[in-house]
Parts: sequence; structure tokens; C-alpha cells
Amino acid sequence: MDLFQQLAANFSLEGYFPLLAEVGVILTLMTALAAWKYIKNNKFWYYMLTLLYLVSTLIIILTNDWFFFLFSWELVTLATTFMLAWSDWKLVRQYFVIQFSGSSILLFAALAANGLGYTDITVIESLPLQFLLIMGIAMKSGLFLFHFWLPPIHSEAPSPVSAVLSGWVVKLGYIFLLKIIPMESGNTFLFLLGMAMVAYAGWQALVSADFKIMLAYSTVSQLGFIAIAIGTGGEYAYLGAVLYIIAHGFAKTTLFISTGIWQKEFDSRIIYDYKDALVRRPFTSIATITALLSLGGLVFTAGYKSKYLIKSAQNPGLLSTAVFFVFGLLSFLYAARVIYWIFINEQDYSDFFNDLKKRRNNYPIFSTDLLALLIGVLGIISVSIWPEMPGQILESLAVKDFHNLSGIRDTVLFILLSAYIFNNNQFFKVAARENLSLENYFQQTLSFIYGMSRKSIKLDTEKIFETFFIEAIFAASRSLRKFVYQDFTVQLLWIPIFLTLLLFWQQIYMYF
Amino acid sequence: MMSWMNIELNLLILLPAFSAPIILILDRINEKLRKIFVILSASLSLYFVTALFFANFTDIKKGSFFLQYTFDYFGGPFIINFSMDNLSLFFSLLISMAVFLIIIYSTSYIKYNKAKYYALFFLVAASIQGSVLTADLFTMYLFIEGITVFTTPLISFKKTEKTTEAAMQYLYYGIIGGVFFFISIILIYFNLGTLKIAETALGFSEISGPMQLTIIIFFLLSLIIKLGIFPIHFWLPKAHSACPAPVSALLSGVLLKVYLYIFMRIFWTMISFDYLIELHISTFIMDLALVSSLLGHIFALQEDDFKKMLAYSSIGHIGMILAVLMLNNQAAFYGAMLHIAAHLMMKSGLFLSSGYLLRTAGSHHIDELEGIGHKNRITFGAFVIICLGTIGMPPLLGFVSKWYILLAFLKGKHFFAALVTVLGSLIALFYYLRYISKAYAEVSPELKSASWSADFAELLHFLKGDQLMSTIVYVFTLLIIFFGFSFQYFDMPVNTAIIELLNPQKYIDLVLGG
Repeated sequence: MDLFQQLAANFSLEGYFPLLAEVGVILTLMTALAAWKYIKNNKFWYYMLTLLYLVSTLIIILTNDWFFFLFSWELVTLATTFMLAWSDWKLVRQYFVIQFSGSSILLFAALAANGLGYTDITVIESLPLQFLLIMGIAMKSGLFLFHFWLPPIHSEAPSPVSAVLSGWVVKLGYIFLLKIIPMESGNTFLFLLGMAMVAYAGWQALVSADFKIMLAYSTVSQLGFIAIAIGTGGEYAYLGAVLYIIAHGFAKTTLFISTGIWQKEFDSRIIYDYKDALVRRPFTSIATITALLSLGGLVFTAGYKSKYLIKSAQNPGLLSTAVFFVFGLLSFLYAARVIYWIFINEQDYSDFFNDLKKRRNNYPIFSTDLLALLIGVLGIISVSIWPEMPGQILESLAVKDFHNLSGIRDTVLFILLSAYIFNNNQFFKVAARENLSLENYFQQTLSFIYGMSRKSIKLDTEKIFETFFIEAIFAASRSLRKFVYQDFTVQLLWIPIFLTLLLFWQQIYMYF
Repeated sequence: MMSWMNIELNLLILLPAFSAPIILILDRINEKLRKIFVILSASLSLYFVTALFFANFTDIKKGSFFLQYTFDYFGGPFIINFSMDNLSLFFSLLISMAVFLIIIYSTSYIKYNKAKYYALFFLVAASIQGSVLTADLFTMYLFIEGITVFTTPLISFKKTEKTTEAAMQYLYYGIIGGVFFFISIILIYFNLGTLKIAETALGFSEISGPMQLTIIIFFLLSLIIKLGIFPIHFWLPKAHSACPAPVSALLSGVLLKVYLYIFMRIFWTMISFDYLIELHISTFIMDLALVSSLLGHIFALQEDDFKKMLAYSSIGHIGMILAVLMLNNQAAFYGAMLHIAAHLMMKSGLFLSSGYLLRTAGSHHIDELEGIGHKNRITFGAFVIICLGTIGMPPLLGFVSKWYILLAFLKGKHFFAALVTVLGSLIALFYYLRYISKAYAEVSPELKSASWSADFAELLHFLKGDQLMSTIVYVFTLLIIFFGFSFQYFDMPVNTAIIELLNPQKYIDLVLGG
């Protein structure tokens, strides 16, 4: 069939995109394994959706054709939207509205690019077009100010789906940006957005008590590093972005899968409630710690290597060194804090091996879960040891000096500084956020607007999503309709008015 | 020449036209016989068009397909001339397909006054087919008036105060539109002495400037009334929501496309589009259509009546198609034709599913629809899929047509138009979501249907009684999904139809030379 021939003709297997596609397949395999015991009913449909999602992501990463790119992106939206149904239909609705708004902007931007002569997905030189396309993926990939939906939805989703969303779906936007932003120049706007994301979301992650919300915010923060990398431009920055996408993909998928297990084990998502975690589930603990350390950018880990590449691509100077030191410290802080609260605080390791033999756990250990976590840990480790990747796809990284000595120095500084900061702030023992949801955001926005008019109106929190539309948009469209709809004679009057208008249109046209 | 003898063209019009009295007669004799005859006649109509398509497939592909038939018995101006080129064939095929499915649906939907209903329905079908095939203005006028006159009793089929009011309003507007059409035709006859489209096209440049303007304006106004473009759209939501579901599907899904076809015939084949550009009217119509499109979607957003919401969304889509036609280039026609096909299937499917779903609801009001998603799971699933199609989600046909329309707008650098298209589908998402979330609202468990397996088991009895209605909805859904994947089947018919539009001279030569 023609359609498939056209699809095949526009596949490109150049550069690092096949590698990214492979990583996508491995991550999907991990989440599929983790979902085997987690998803209880309608398992068949879940795996059909996963399959649809997998095929579509591969097309997104590898195609050069705008049509198939957007076609499969919408399919990813559909597949992931319905995956959320295993948690709550409310999420399905919200996620679909947000993603569809995003893809509407993206469709507009992509077709504008197409109309202006970029018939394939290639490097786009025009700055306004770059801006338009960045706006297009902003909603989908959670760029700063457009990330508002990401923490509520990624934390409420079922754990394997969170892993899919946070681990890979949000990265698709950055993979697309890798194709269109010119490597030589980068994009300053993207760079600035990335800075804001790292700082703001990093702080939010630091003051989260809920494990999944912390992970969701850390996703935004880590995506900021990728945005910085693509915004900087240059070969090493781009390789850094690729490595970051892979490293963060493995780490975040592992972490979200393990949160699913922790949640079932302790029946809680608050990190202060996790007691004897290492004794109860040693392997999950090791996977969690490995992934968190990579997230925090500890020296020798995958996270460090990719962060170092991005750092080294900046203009050398005191300012950039200081800024990246602070950013690195922030990531280290929120990762180390979680490790402290789960594995160190008030833990009794005096009789560790005897406790281990007792095998107390609430949630049975499934081999599928273990296999998923094992793949994740192996992924993180192999990225740490061989940043050039199997087959030396990123070959220039094989001989790259990662300055591990300065890394060790930085890590020691991080540990000392964080010990000091934690000690002065009671390890950021904050209360869990209450009711983090999109409804709440709407309420806050509304109260802010009402507050400006010095009127305090209490709105129904539960129904705010519907209320917002009924009160604001429906009222507006209703009054518009009332204005247009008069009684029948007035309606008929439109015809002669319109006739005159058309007859004298030429004169009216001349007038302007 | 062959083209004098294409008597099968008449059959396409005469078969449904003669079916109507036969149905009335058969109803007196035997109800079962009538039912069989209705289905037979509908399927024969579809068969003739498809047979024409496949018999002339190589000609159609080459673009040399042309059939015509002329009655010349009356003498004087009233020559009756039918012709069929690739453009009319494309519309004829789509319309016959939709009408066939809608009639099958009606057989289990309409419960009373059946004979009258089918007689009127076949008369409408004949008028539709006639106005697509006609090659002279006289019969075109007759068929347009026929459509108006025969649909009016169908709109007031339920005979309540509301439907009568809607029907009367529809009739007012229809007749006013017809009068304007008639004025233009008379002006053409006084100036040129002919009513053949091809001869008018040849002689149109000889008419004086102000007269040309008047003729164009009256045609335009009449068609704008018929298409329900803002600010003369008031009759449309009322009329399209008052009638029984299959009639809504016919009006919204099929009839509006017929008027679009007439629009193309008049402003591309008969009067060259250059006149509209010269008079600066095309940009005005484009802006008007875009405003109409946006307003249609906004009105749909606030509408609490299920069927009125669908009707308003039709205004939105028709405005978009009219606007993209105004770009007057290959890419724009491609998008418009695809969207005509897509919207025909989607709107018919939506209205038909509304008819099926609303059997269990008390009224069309949104508050009454609570839980219908649980009661009719599979049908409502089909409804959701078609909704996704209308907002343009792949892998459905709506995505492809939206894509080509957006592409045409952006290639023409009409950013406002592209914005309206994107915004329209975004608003559409909201108004469909309102109804969908209402339909899936939590209801007491006894209201839900027993189980999924029971639902699927019902699918097996797809040709029995009630199931026929949902089967037709599934057919439309499957068509939308199928063509979403293989929209390239539309490539050849659409492209050859566009060639007809862009080369009116070919049509003129064939009609006059044949």
C-alpha cells in the first residue's frame, strides 16, 4: 500500500536517533513487565495500548515526514490517555484536553513550517518558526509555565503509566527539538526556559513529602537540563542531551516502577512512612538508590556524565561554573534527601542479616517486577561505564575526558554542603501537599483573579473544572448567542441588510 | 456520439422519484411488500451509481469520463439536460452511499406514518440526485425548490408546536433563498436567452458589468442562506434538531454538501471564479465563512440540546469548507473535498447515533443524558470514536481532512483561517467532552448493562430489528476508521474532480459538442 511505502521512504536511520529508538523499546519493555502484576483488569487492552504506543513512538523518533510525525504523536496521545483510565477517568479527561491543546498548537506550527518550505523535518533556521515549534511542544513536554499539568497527572497515574509518561513520552518533544534546532547556534529562549525549569522545579522537588510528586517535579527539573543542552548548541551539548535523555529515561522509569512497589508495600506515598525498606525489599532498595544517585549526578554515574557534557559545552567562566554548581547541588539535594528519609533516618541496621532472613513483606515479590528493575539498573550502569554506547554510536564520547577528579571534588563538596543544609533545615521535613490536582490550580488561579477585584468568592473545589467553563466560557458564549439571536423578524432583516452589503461591497472595499 | 444516449442517468433520478408513489400504493396493499420495495429501491439506486463508477473506471481515471442526456421536446428555454462528469460522480457516489445507509436505518427507526415518510424521503433523494446531475439552471432551480418543499414536511414529521415552528422557519428561508436563485436565473435568461450552464458560461462575459454583479450577488445570497452561513444561519439548528434522527442526518450530512456542490458548479463552472476575485467578494466571503465557523463552534459550546449542538457544529464545519474553497487552488480543493467526504460520514454517523442513544433518554437536554454511556456501551463507544474523528484525531478520516485544510490555509499564508481551524477543533473537543462526561456520569448499578460479553453477544444479531440501527452507526464508524488509514483511495476521485473544477472549458466543450 502507498501509505506504508511513503512511511518507509521517510524513515531515517542516521545519527543517534536509532539509539534513542532502541532505548525507547527497552523502557517500554520495562514498563510492560512492571505492569504484568500491577494492572489487574482488562490486561489485554492495556497491552494493546502499550503496543500502539510503542509503534507510534518509534515512528515519531525515526520519521522525517511531518504527516507521520503528527499522526503518530496523536496516536501516542490517544494510547497514553486511555492508559490513564486504569487510575481515574477524570485524569483521562484532563490529560486529553491538555494534550489535545498542545497538539493543536504543534499541528499549527508544523504545518506553518511545511507551508514555509520545510517539507521534511530538518534543521529549521528561521527563529520565529523555531519559537512556534518550541511553543508547540511546550505543553506536551512540560516546558516552563506549561508544566503545570505534569506533577498532578504524573503522580496520580498508575505507576507503570507514570513510568511511561515521565520516562519517555515527555522526552519525545526534546528528541524532536534535537532534529530541528540547528546544532551550531542552539536557541537562547529554550536555554532560558531550561534554567527556570531546573531552578523552580528543583526547589519544588526538594520540598515534597510525597515520593511520586517529588519524582514528577524532578522530571520537570531534569527536563530543564535537556532544554539547556539543546538551547546551548554545539556537538557536546547535543551528545549530552542524548545521553541525558537515555540516562534519565532509565533512572526515572526505574524509580516510578519502584514507587509502585513501595506504595503497595507500605500503603503510602509519603517518604517518612517508609520503615525498614532495605530489609523488606533489598533489591528494590538497591534499584531505587542507584537510580536516585544517578538522578543526583553522583560522580561516575550516568547522570554525572551527561551533566558534565552539558556543563563543558557552556562558555567557560565563573558565572557558568557557579550556576551549574548550584544546579548540580539542587539535584543532589533532592535525591539525597529522599535516600536519607527512606534508608537512613531512624533505621535500625544492627540485626540486618537476621531480619533479612525473616522475609517480611506485605506485597509479594514478583519476578516480573524484579526483571524490570534489573533492566533499569543495568541500563544505568552501562550508561555510566560506556557513555559511547554499545557499538560506539556516540564514538566521540569514548575518548572524552569526563574529569572524574573534579567530579569527585564536586561530589565531596555536594555531600558536605548538603549535610550542612540538611542539618540546619531538619532535612526538609515538610508536610505533604494536600490535594495536588488541576482543579486546585484552577481554584487558585480563580481566587487570584477574584482577589484582585477584592471580592472573595468561595468556589466548589470538586467541580471547579466544570464550574470554570460553565461560569466563564459558557456565560460568554451564551450572551454572544443572545446578542445574535433576536426575534424572527430581526433575523429575517439580516437578509436585506446582507444583500445591500454585498451589492455595495465594491464601494465599501474601495473605502478601506 | 455516445453521450446522447446515456439514458441510465435518468434512471438515477427517476428511480427514487417513481418509487415514492409506488410506496404509497404498495402500502395500501401490503406493509411487508412496501418494506421490501423500500430497501430494494434504495439498494438499486446505490447499485446504479457504483455500477456507473466501475463500468467507466478507466475513463474516470483518465479524466475523460462524461455522460449526458437531453430532453428537447418542449422547445424554447426549457431544455432538460443531465450530465455527469467526475465532480458530479464523486458527489453522487457519496450521496447515494449515505442515503442508502440512512434509509436502512430508517426502516427500524420510523414507527408511524411510514409510507408518507418513505415517499417524501425518496422524493428528497430524487431531488438531491437531480440537482447534482443537472446541467441547466431551469432544472437546477426545480430540484432545489423540490428539496426545500419535500424536506419541510419531514422536519415537522413529529407534528408538535416546536417542529412546526422549525419547519415553517425553514420554509421561509428556503423560499426566500429560492426566490433569489430564481431572480438570477431570470436575469441570465433575459440577457443571454439560454439556461444551459455551458452556454451561460460561454456568454457570461458579454453581460454588462452591473448586471454581472447583480447575478453573482443573488446567487451568492441564495446559496449562503441555503448553506446556513452566519448571519443567516438561524433556521439551521432549529430545523436540523427538530426532525427525526435520520432526517437530521440527511439534512446535516448530505444536503449541505449538495449545496456546496451547487456552489462549486455555479461559481467555478458557470461563472468563472475570477469574477469573484475581481469584485473582491471572495475575500469577504472567506472572512464571513471563517467568522461563521468560529461562531458555530462557540454556539455549540453553550448549547444544552444534544441535537442542536450537533447542528451548530455543522455550521462550524461548513464555514470551514467554504472558506477553504475560497482559496481557489489545487491544495485547497483537495482539503475541501476530503473534508466534504469526512464530514458527510461523521455528521451522518453522529446524528444517527444520537437517534439510537436518545431512545433511552427522556429528552435531548444534557441533564437527561446522564448515564447513557453505560446503557449503550458499544454504540456510545462508536459515538466517541466519531467525535474524535470530528476533532481530528488519527487514525480517523477527520485528521487527514483537517491536515489538508490546515496545509492549504498555511500555504496560502492565511494564518487567521488556520487559527480558526485549530481553535474550532479545540472548542469542539470541549463541547463533545461535556456530553461525553455527562454520559459516563456515575449512575446506579442497575442502570448499567449487564456485562461486556452480553454487549458483544448483541453484536451478533446485527441484522435484527433494533440492532439494525446500531449496525448502521457501526458501519459509519468503520468507514471513518477505514478511510482514515486508506484515505489514498480518495486520491484519484478527488483529484479528477478537482481537474473538472479547474478546467470549466472542458465541461463546456463536452456539453455543447456532444
